[in-house]
Amino acid sequence: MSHAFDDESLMATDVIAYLQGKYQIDETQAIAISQERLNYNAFPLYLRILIGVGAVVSGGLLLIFMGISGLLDADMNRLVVGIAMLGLAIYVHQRSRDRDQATASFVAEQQLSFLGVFTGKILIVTGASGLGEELGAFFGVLAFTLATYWIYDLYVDRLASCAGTLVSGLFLLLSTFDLSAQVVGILVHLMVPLGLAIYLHPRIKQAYNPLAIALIGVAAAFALGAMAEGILGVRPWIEFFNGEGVSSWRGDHQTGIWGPLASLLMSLITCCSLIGLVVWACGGKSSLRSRYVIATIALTLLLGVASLTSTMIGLIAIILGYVCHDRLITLVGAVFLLVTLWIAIHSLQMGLMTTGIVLILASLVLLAGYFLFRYWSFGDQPENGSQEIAEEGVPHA
Amino acid sequence: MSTYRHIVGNEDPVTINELPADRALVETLVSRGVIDRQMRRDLFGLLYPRKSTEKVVLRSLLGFATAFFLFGFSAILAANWNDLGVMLRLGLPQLIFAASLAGAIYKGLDKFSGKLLASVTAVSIGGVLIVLSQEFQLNADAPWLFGRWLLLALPIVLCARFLPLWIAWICLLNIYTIIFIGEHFSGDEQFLFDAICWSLILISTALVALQQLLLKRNPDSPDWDWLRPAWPRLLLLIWMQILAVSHLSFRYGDFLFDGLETPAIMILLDVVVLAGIHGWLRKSTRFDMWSLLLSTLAIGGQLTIMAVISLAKVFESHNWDWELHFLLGAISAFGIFFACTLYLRKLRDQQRSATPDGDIDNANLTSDSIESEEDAP
Repeated sequence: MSHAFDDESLMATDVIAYLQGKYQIDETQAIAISQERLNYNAFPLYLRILIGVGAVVSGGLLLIFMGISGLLDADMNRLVVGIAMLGLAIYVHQRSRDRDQATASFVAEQQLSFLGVFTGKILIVTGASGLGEELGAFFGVLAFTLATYWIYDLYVDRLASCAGTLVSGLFLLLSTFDLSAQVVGILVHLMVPLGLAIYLHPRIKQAYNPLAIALIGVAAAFALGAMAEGILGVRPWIEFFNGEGVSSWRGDHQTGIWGPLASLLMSLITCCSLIGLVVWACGGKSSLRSRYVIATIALTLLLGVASLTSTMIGLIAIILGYVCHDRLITLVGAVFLLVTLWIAIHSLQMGLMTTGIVLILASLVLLAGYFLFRYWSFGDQPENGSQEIAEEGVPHA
Repeated sequence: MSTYRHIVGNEDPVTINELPADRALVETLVSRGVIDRQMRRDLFGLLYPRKSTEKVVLRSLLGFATAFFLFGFSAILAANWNDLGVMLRLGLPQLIFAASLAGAIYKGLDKFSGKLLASVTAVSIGGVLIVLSQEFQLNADAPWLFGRWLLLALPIVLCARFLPLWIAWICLLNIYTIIFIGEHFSGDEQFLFDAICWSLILISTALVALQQLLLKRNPDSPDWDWLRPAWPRLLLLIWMQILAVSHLSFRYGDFLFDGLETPAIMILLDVVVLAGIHGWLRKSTRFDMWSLLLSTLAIGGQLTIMAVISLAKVFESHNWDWELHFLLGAISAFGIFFACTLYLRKLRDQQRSATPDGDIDNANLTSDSIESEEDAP
C-alpha cells in the first residue's frame, strides 16, 4: 500500500484494501470500478505543448499565407477550406491512433493533425460568422466541438471548445433572439446545477468533466460580468427602490420589479446548487441535522440575499475541489472568490470611505461566522457526535 | 482523476495507486452494489477526517476576515490621507515598519509567520521612503528611491532566508538596473538595449551561480534547506532565456537588414547563453523534463524566428512575392518544432532507461483495460 491512512489524501487502493480487510468486499470488482474512473493519457503534456506550439506557429503563418494570396477572401471559401482542413486533421489523427507512439511518423501526424484542427477551427468560425453572423458562429463552433470532442482526448481542447460553444450561444440569445440579460442570466445560472450533476454523477463518464467545468466556468464568468454591470447583486435593488431602473448590457435601463426579481431567481438557483452540493458532500438528506450543514446553509442564504451568485459559484468550486480531492479546482475557486468579492465591493461605486466601512463590516460578519463554526458547529457536539454524524453519512465535515 | 492530472497527462500508465479516493468513487461503489450504506458511512469518516475539515473552514474564515479588515482599514486611511496631519502621515509607515520588525524578531525568523512579518518590514521600507520623499519634497527620482530601498531592505532579505522575499528583491533589482541604465548611460538605442539585456542576464547568471555554489558547499546542511527548492532557479532561467531570445531576435534582424553595425559577438553570446542553459540543465537536473521543455521551447522559438527573418531577407533581396515567404516560414516552423519534439522525446526515453525501476510498482493494476475508459459507463 502506497499511502498510510493518516495521510491527507487516500488513494483508491488504500480504500479497497481497507474495505477488503474489514468487510471482505469483492476486490476485483472494486478495482475494475476504480479503473473506469481513470483517464489514461500516455503522451505527456510537455511533448504535446511542443507539438501544439509548432502547430500554432506554423498554422498562424499558413493562415497569413492563405490570407495574402486571396484564398480566404470569400466567407464561403473560409468555411469550405476550414471544413476540409478539420476533416483532414481528424482523418490523420484517427490514422495515427493505431501507430506505434515511438515512431517519428506518429509525432509528425500528431503535429499535422493539431495544425489542421487549429487552422480549421479558426477558418470555420470566421467563415460561418461571416455568412450567418451570431447564428453562423454558434453553429460553426457547435459543429467542430461535436466533430472533435470524442476524437481528441485533450482536456484543454474540450474545455475551450465547449466554452466557445456556450459563449457563442449566449451571444446568439442576446443579439439574434434579443432576449433580455435577465432571461439569459437565469438560463446561464441553470448551467451551474447541470455542470455539477455532470461532474458528480457516478454514472457519467470522466470524459465529460471538461463539459461540466465549461458550464460552471461560463456561468461564473457571466455572473461576474453581470455583477460588475449591476444586473446582479445589491445594485438592482438599490436602483429599483431609487426608481432609477435596472442596468442592462445594451445600455438601456429597465424599470419595474422584473430586474430585481430575476436577480433573486438567479441567486436562488445558485443557492440551491450550493446547498445541494454541501448536502451531497455531507452524505445526503440525513446530514441536514448536522450543525455544520445548518451553519453553511445559513451563510449561503445570507450570500443569497445579497445576490452574490459569482461568489457562491467560487464557493461551489472550492467545495467541489475539496470533496473530489481536486486541488486545481479548489485553487481556481479560491482565486475566483477573491476576485468576485473585490468586484462585488467595487461595483457598488461608493467611494473609498464607504467601501472601507463596508469591508470592515464584512470582516466582522466573517468573524461572527468564524465564532459560529468554532463554538457552535464544531465545539458543542456530543462526545459521540463524530460517530453519530459518520453514521449519517456526513464526511465529518 | 484530478483536473491537473487530466490536463497534464501522465508519464507512465496511471494506476489506481495514483487515483485519489473521493466521494464520487464511494458513490460509484455503492451504486454498483460493491459496498453497502454501513461501509459508505465508514468510508466517509475515513476520507474526510473531522479535524482537518474544521481546520480548513476556520482558517479560511479567519483569513478572509483579516484580509477584509486590512483592506477596509487601508481604504479608510487612503480616503482621509490628506486630513491625517504630517506627523500621522510620516508616523504610520514607520509604525508599520517598527511593528512588523518587532513582530518578526519576536516570532523568530525560523517560523513562517516571522518570515512573513520580515517581508512586511522590507516592503514598508519602500512606503517610508515614498512618504518621506513626498512630505519633504526631496525631488527623489526613481533610481534614488529604488536604490535606497534595495540597499536598506538587503539586510532583512539576507536574514529572513525566505525565497518569495528574495524573488521580490530580485524583481526590484531588475527594475532598478533598467531605470539606472536608462538614466545614466548615453548612447544610441541599440547600445542601451544591449546594456540592459546583458546586465540583467549577468545578474541572473550570478544569482543562479551563487545558489549552486552555496548548495554545493553545504550539501547536507539543514541551514541551507530554504535555498534548495528549484522554482526560483527555474524562474531566473526562464527570465534569462526570454532576454536572450528577445535580444538575439532583434540583433539578428539588425545584422541582416542594417549591415555589419551589429558585432557578431553579441549574437554569439546569446547563442552561448541558450546553449549553455540547455547543456547545464541536461547535466545538472538529471532530466527535469519541464525545465528541458522550456529550454527546448526557447531554442525552437529562436530558430523559427531566425528562419523567418532569414527568409524575409532572401525574399527582399530577390524581390519575390511575399506570400511564399509565409508558406516557407510555416514549413520551417513545422520542421523545427517537429525536430524539437523528437529530441525531447529522445531525452525522455533516456531518462526512462536510466531509471528502470522508476516505473509502476503495481503492474497488474496498470493495464490496457484503462484504454477502454471512454466506453465504460
